[in-house]
Amino acid sequence: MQISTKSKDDVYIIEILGRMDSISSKEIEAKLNDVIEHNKSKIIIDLAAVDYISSVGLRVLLAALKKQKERDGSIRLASLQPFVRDIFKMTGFDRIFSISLNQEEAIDRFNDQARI
Amino acid sequence: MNLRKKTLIVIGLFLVSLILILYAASELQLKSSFSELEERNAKVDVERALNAISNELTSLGDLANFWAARDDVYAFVTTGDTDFINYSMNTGSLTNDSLHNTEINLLLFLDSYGQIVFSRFLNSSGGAEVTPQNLIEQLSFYGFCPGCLDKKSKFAGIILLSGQPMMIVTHPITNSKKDSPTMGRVVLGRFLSQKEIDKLSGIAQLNLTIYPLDDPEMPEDFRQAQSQLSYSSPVVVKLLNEESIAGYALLTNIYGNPLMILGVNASREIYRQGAKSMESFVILFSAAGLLFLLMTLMYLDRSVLSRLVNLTTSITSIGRAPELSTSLRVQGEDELASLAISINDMLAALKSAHENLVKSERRYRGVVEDLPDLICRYRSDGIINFVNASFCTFFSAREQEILGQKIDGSVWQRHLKSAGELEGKINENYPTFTYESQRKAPDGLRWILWTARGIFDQAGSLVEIQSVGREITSIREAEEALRESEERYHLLAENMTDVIHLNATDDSLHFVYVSPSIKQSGYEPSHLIGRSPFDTLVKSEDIAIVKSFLSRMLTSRREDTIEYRIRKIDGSFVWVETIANPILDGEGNAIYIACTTRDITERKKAEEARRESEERYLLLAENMTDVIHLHTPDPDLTYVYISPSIRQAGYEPSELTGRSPFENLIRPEDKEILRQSLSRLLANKSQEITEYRIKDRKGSCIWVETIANPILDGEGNVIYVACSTRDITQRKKVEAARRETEERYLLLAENMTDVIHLHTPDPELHFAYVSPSIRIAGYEPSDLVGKPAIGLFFGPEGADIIRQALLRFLETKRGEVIEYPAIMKDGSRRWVETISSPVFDREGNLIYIANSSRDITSRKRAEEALKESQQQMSDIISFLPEAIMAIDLNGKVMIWNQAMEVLTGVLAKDILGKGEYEYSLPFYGYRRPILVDMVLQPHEGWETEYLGFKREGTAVLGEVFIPSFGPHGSYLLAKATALCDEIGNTVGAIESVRDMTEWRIMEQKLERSRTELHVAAEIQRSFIPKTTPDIPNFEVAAVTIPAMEVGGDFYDFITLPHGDHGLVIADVAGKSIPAALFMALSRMIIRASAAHQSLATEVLRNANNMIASDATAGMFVTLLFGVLDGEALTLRYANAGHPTPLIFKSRDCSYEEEVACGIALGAKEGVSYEEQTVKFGPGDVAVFYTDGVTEAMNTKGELFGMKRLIGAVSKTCQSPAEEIMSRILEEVSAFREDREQNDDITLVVLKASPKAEEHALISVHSRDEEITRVSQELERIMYRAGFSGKQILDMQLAVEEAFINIVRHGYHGSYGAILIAMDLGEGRLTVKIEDDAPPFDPTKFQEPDFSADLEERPVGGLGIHLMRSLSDEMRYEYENGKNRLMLIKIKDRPSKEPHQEAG
Repeated sequence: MQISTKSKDDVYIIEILGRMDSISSKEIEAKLNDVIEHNKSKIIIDLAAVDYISSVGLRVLLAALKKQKERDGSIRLASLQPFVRDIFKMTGFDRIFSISLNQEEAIDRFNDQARI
Repeated sequence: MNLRKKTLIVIGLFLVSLILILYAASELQLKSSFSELEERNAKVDVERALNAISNELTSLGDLANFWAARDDVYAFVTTGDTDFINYSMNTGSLTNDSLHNTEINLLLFLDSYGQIVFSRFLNSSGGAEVTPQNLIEQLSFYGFCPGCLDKKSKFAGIILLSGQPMMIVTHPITNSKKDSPTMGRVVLGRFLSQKEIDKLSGIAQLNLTIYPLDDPEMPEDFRQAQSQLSYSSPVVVKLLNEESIAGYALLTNIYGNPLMILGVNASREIYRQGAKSMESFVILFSAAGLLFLLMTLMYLDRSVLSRLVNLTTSITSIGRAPELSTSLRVQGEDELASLAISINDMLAALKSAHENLVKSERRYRGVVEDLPDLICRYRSDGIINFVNASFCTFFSAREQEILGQKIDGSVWQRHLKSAGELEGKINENYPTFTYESQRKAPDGLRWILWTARGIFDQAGSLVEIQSVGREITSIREAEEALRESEERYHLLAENMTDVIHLNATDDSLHFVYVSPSIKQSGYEPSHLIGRSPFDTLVKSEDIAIVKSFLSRMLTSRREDTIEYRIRKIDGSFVWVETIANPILDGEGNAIYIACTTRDITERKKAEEARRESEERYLLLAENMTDVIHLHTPDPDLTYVYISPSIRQAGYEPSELTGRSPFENLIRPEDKEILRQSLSRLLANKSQEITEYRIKDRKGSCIWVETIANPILDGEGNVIYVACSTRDITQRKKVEAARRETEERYLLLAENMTDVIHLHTPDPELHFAYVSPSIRIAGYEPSDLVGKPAIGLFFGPEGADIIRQALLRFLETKRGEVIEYPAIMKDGSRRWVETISSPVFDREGNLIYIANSSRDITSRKRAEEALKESQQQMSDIISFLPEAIMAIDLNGKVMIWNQAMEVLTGVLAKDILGKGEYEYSLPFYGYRRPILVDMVLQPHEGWETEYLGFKREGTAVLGEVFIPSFGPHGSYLLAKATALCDEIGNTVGAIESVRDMTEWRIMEQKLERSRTELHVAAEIQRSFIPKTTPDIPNFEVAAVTIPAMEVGGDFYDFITLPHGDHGLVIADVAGKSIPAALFMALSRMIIRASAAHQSLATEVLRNANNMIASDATAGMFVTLLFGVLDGEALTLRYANAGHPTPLIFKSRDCSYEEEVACGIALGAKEGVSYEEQTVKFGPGDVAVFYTDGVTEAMNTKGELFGMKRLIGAVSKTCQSPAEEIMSRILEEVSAFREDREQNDDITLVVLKASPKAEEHALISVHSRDEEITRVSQELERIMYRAGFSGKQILDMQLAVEEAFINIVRHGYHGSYGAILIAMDLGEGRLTVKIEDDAPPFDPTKFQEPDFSADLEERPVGGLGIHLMRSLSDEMRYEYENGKNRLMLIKIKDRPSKEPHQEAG
């Protein structure tokens, strides 16, 4: 499991590579907390290279989203792979999270919001 | 039948049947529709005819109306007023003409009672006739009863009147205004005469015929029609003939009763037209089809068939041609062209490989021809079929004379062993037999060592013998010489053995025992036993010495040694050394003396000689001038001055001045001595005398003595060291020698037994004095004194030697040692050594010649024997085939044998005795140390100059490549070792040199030739599939291992048009290049054949015809082609003479035999093949193989065989295909042991995928990290069972959720065990998870509301929801304190339920 981060303008992009299972999710949680602590208001989590997610992984994402909401920030998920998309649907997470087809679209959405 | 004919027939048949079908279809369709149309037309015609009749009736009705609504008629009928009648009958409308014009034949006026009031009746031609009396009856009879009619109705109809049909109408009569009551009726009738009918026909344009129903003349067709006509089918149509069709209808009377039959006859125009157009259509279509056929054929012929035929013909002709010279013509850019190109490429590669092979064969042949060995091959019946040049030369015969001859009778043939002679000596496993033969050649006897090698066929019978002879004459001669020499040495040794004897201890010392070796001295042991040695044996002068020795020894009672002289039986004396040992009794008294006595005359002589030479050296040493040299007192002792006398050591003073003697001059061992001496000198400031060794220019060691003196300055410091050095080598040697020998010299002098004789220097050398010891020679001194020595003692040969010596005396005035044969008293000759010295008077005149002579005969003999032996040894060396040279310690050449002369071109006489590395010139072209020098004076790192340097005992071996030696440089293998004398001192070094160039070049060429063949093999190997195909439900493993670099076996996998898989395994008859060519062709033909055909029998049939049609070269291939259906688990195959596949049932690994069938491809044209079907159950195995497997041979000549093959598979039939194949290969290889693989081995193992059943049990701890292991195992099992990726992920997630749930909520993070069992079976995976945590049933868990918004959303419960959603079934039980959760996943059927990606 690897996490890489980059910024584009004011959008902070986290790219995860590997499985988001109960083991790797701890690392992701730490990373997300760190990012949120640093007041990044616009976060994109790109799951293009994640082909597996467990409930622990879901909870990590949910916790991050709650924290971010409290701070008036937002999180967008991008590039959900088929299996991950199924799990999101199955658990109703697809209704909680803002999900974009890919990273570019997610950035555009942030920019659209900014314009409004 | 060739492809062209076949294509012609197929397309022709296709077209013909197409036309037939078209014709039949049109015939059926068009004709029936034509007939229908025709029928309809006929019906219409009938209706038209009926209409025409009805129209006639209507028009008749109109006429009737005219009569019925006339006032005058009305009046006539009512009142009977005849005016009107009269008028009308004459001029009016009732005249005959008028009626005739209106074609009325009958006019009746009826009164209201139905009675005829007026009637007119005209016949059909218009002539008035009397109204028939029975008109009314007739009318009634035929269905018209005018009186019966109601008053107002109008009627029309047809009746028969007097048998004639008549149209009849009746109208009621009214006034013109039609308002009056009807009064009677008017009836009008018109005969339906032929004329009328013709008229009707004309109107309707129909051919009408009418017959009354009861007309007896009615034609047959009318009758038939009549029977068919009914109320329901009022119209009937009938085909009369090809030309005409007729329609029929019934004509009814006014009451509707059938009265007459109407026929309408029409010609069948439509039908004829239709038939005609169809005919022309068919002709046109056939013509078009024919044209199409021709064009297709032409195109096929041009673009495919003729080229394919050309290709096949070319390939076959290439295959048949002795040389691969042709290549295929390439046309166009289609598949055939690329086939031709690839064949060309292969041909080119094969050709080059073949050429290389031919070249290499020529090279080898050249080598064989040029081999010095004699080579001859002959068949088992003795006919010679090969000899090489050496053979011919050796037997001085021409090759043509030998070839084809039988091996008995002739000169050369005596040397060869026939098959009969070799029987029992050789067999397949030990095919060689070695023997020797001799041949008397003009230049002497020649020996040949023969090695006969039997060549056996497959059945193991001897077919050919190859004999290789090597001439070993020189070895034999050398051996012979060596043997002789050894024998002599042996003899010598036997004669030289010490004599063992036992003596008594009394004064006489009489012999108790004497060993037989005493015979050397001429005595027999029996002569001596019981006698005293003092009687005769011990020389009288020595008796005293021996006796004193004896008493000394008996006193000391210890072993002791004495040297003295004894007399041999021939009277001569020899020096002997006796080692005596007293043998003591119990009281310590000596009872015997045990002695070992040895002849030491030679040693004595040697000692003497050494003493003399030492004296000479001393003289030389004394003449050497001392060297004066001056040094600075530094630790290096730098030379400040050195006197020129240093040149004695080969150095120039200038090259030493300014340098240190420690650098090179002083021997390393002595440096320390000198340093100590220097430090003493500096400390004591006193003279030091040191003896040490230096090296002269040539590296020889010189002993020197240096007297060193410190030179002091005013303050007493040493400023120089002044030295005087002298060569004391000789002195040292003499000193050493003298120390050893002084005593012995003394002894010698005392016991001098030499004969002293004095001669006057006259030409005859008269004896002046002779010592008494001359008696040894049998003379008395008195016999000789005053007599001339020449001729008496000196003899003729001796006289010459003496005279020459005499001349030298006068010149040198010095003594000399001479050897000559002297004449004894008894006339025998013995070699004598005389030290001859001139004796001068005071004036320097020669007055006497003083001689001291001794008998050296035995020494001389030994010397001569030795010399002879040495000569022989030197000859052996000289004639050894190996080039040999030796140098002495000074680097001078001692030995340079003939082989060396040949190798270097330098003759021995030109190089013997030369030093300064002269011997390196012929090798290197310049002076340098060579291997032999390295033995004596190695320098740093010299080993690295040699390839493959190694030591063998004391010898060193190395190979060098000298570019300048030989025309293209040479590889020389040298072996050098130190030469030692008998005492073990190094006296030089010897080196043997062998020219390895040819050998090495041969090796290189062989290597290159192998590489070339290897390339061809690589090309061929590229035909073999690199990977096995993925066939659903089958595992495939395949391998081919060629025996030679280029093989004839192959296997292939072909993807067939319908997605099935074709499998090919084949074995081409023959080996190497032709087989490889044929293999490539077969492979391509099978591929081409299978490209549009997936019926195995057809593929083989086509392939066979293509191969066989021109394969007169006798090549054929056994081949099995099968089509694998992965879904149905079947193999349908056809077999062309290949070993049948072995089928093994997975249940019990039982073997089922398949039926053998089919003839090899290319053997016979037009053969068809039978199809076999193998139905696989899961796990069943099929093994395809070539006979290289079953016919693998071991060292005992046994074959691997079917039994072993079946055994190998039976043991492993449950394993994957790959392992089964490895097992077979291992067993074959183990069976074969060291024997080389004799045939290509090809194996294809096919295994139907076994039933997916698997169990796994994993025991893990309650730690998050453990989930990785579980997930991996899950993935492995599910992947192997064929679950889809999505299903694997589903199950991984479900299991992970269950696991994490137990870890976090069951054990609450504490330590616990979790047991996970995975069971696979019947298309489902069951994962059982057991833990010891408190009971918890996730199936009862109430799921939270996941539709809630973010804020209200529960964080827990997700896992159980996922477990439930992602597994197909979730079960829970609590038993024996354990939670047991079961998650079940059912395997998707990918074909029926294609997996859908979500979204």
